[in-house]
Amino acid sequence: MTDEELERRLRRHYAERRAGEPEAPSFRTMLAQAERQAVRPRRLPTTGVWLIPAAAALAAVWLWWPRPVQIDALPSQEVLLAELTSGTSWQAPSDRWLPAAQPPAYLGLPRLGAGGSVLEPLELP
Amino acid sequence: MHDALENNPAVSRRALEEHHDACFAWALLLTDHDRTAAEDVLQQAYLLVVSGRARFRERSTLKTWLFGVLRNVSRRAQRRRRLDRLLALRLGADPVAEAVAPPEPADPRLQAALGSLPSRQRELLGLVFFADLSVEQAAGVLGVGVGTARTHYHRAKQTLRRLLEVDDDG
Repeated sequence: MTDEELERRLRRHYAERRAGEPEAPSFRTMLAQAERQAVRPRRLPTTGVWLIPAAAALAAVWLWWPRPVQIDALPSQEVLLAELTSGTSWQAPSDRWLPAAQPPAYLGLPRLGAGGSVLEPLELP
Repeated sequence: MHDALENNPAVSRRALEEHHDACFAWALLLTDHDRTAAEDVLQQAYLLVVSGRARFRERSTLKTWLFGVLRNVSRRAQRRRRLDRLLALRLGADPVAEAVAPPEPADPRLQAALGSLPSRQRELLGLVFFADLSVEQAAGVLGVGVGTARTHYHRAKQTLRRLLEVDDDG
């Protein structure tokens, strides 16, 4: 088969295929639809895009949320009393700790300042 | 150009309309004569053109550029369809029915021989003999160099000749 014969056969084949094709849809309708779609606002970003700032916000809240005072770091009243009678003064583990209320005066316990410092000397009855 | 597209100033509505039939014919060839798929491809291509997401920079003729856009849209749609079918098979669902059977070819032997060619060679022959483009223009549509397109063109014809001669002898 020569090159010309093959080309002729190919042209005939494609021409026949083209002849049997359905009519093209209306150009105006298709263009109008494309123009309508083109002006439609874009969709919001997918869920994955929102996950990153949401996770960052959660982490920030968790980091900045005030921590509760660690109660078990405070000595019991007996330990405190024993330390005071032995002449040593108890220091709170952290300067962040402040006594919520001063002990009643009849107990003879010293008044505590910031950081657990003793404000008054102990006078036992 | 008073009827130029807002987001694609180098494209006029009139020029687009002139190539409409040829574009639809090319879309049909790309989708194995599935009319619905061809319309979807053409609609999607028009959306890209109108929105300016595909921009004509006048480096080729408008027809060549449009054919290239259609080819890209069609390939993307084919990939998506393949993925959908794969997903449907994995999930145990009935895969979506394949495209409608193409019309009975007048030359079934040539049709079978064309079907055995690699897709790029088949597309190239389609562009030259069906869409009446030159090999150089077809190279632009396929996004390959002119030399590469010529090689594909000659190899395709060589393969076809061999297959058809074998058939004739048999």
